Amino acid sequence: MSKSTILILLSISMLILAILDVRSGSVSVPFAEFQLWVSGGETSDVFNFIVVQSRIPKALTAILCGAALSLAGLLMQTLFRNPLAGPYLLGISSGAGLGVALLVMGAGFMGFVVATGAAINVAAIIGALVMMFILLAVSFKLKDVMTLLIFGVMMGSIATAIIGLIQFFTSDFQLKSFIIWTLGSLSAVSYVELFILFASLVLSVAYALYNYKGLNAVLVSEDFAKMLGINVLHVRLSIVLITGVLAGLTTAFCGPIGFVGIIIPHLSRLLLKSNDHLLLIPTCILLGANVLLLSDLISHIPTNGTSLPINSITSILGIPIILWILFGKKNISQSF
Amino acid sequence: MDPFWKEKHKSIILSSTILNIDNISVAYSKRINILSQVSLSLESNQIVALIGENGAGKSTLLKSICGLTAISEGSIKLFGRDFKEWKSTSLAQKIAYVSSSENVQSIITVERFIGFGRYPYTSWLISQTEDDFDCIEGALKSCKIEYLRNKTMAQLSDGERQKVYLARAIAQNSDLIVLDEPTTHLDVKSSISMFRLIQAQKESGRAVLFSSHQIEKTLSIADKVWVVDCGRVIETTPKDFYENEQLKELIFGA
Repeated sequence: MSKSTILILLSISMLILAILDVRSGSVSVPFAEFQLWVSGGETSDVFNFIVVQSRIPKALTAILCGAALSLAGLLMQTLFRNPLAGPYLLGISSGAGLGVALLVMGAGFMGFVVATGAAINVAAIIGALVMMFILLAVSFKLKDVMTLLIFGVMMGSIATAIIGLIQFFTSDFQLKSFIIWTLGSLSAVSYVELFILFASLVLSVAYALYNYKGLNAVLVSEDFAKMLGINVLHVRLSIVLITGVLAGLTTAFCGPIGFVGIIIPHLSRLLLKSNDHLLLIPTCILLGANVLLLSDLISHIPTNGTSLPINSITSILGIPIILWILFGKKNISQSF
Repeated sequence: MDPFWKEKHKSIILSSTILNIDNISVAYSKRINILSQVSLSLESNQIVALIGENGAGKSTLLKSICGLTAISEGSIKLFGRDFKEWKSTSLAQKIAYVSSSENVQSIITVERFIGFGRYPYTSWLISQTEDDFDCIEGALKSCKIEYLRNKTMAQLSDGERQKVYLARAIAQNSDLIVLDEPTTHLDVKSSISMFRLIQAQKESGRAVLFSSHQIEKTLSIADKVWVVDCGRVIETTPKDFYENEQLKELIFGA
């Protein structure tokens, strides 16, 4: 299969999955109503609420988050030349989690309840940004990218430890609302938030594609890239910045969604049999969108009107794939 | 008479000197010097061999020549201009470097890997012009590895991989090729063909600076020898090296 065929097929399957995703849910919506909506006719309030206000943003969220997490994962794996790197490895999501924990449970201490999505989003973004700026500041100082990785993992552990402490001293009610946030959810993302995510994704993709040669060379080694005239510090800083923004925003809007960021870059490389970023970047984005749409479809399987937590679905889908890659014939280090 | 003949003459003299290393030191920490007060020069069309014990500072010298390790004292001039004045892409058009720790085991094909050598010349998206293809083809041919072009780097033997690294450096079309231990891990046959390839670079007017522990073969192709010992570098020729008991003892032991 040629490389462009792969990209076209992935785009088509993304569209099909998106349509299926909008169609599926606890309430079935007649097809005629969709035709009416597409042709610009007057639709019922129920349709407006279910499809326009809930399902379409949810499908868009799946597409954008899947794409954002996969791109962030790809860039991290390239920067650290480590197949297990992902957007969450640098502690950025833990930073977001710490922000949310401080808000939800900290507010509980002071005797009032914070339950609005907007406040949680702001807290998560602030937490992720703080973590990212610490990493950026440190990456100026550190010569070695591996030390940066270890530093990130340690920062993540500290954040998780503080979250644990806060959890220990908090009431049941606050604890539950925090746990629900950690399960992740693709619903309840507004059109404004979607636009913010979309804009950051477009900028990040444009930047990554513009620098695809630098990324290809950095994947060999930083000295190798330097000797080809590439500004390595610039590439490193921008990767940390892009990952911070993309992982921070998705974590803020949907909670921590695991495994997508680690797995999709590997699947893309196996699919393309290439590690040229000019092809890898679009493939990763499309594949990530596909996988998160599929996970969302699976989460609708219970027919009693509820849907399963998305984070569990991606993990249950993701872990067998990681095991297949680890134990199967496909050698990660040779597809890297 | 041409009033500028002197100027022109001067530029010809300058252009034959590629590198001018003036009194450089490289410090590991504030007290410990890896290299101290090294002064050397390197001319075009020359093969320079770097020999010395493990840990003597060979790799550090090569890295500082490439600008990868910061020097704490002195200056390095490339074609008469200080290193800091060079733009990174134009520097990459002058020096190609193959590290000793390079071990590329990935799905990238040999042809694409050699294409890395064209990065300093190509702009965004217009990835390769006819010129670039010619350079890649030429590099494949001069290292006699055309048959490897569609293999991935992971599929190669150590000897083949080392040739591909050299081909990548050749494709970079630089005036100086710096190779850090290109013959390590190679069997007898592969290392002989590696030495031949290094020697052949002289015909295309390039200078090659390389380090190796296979002293006899190394000296047989070198025009100049830099012997590194405890951070000092002694410049000599292969002939003088064999006549100097002190240097021989330094390399071969008592």
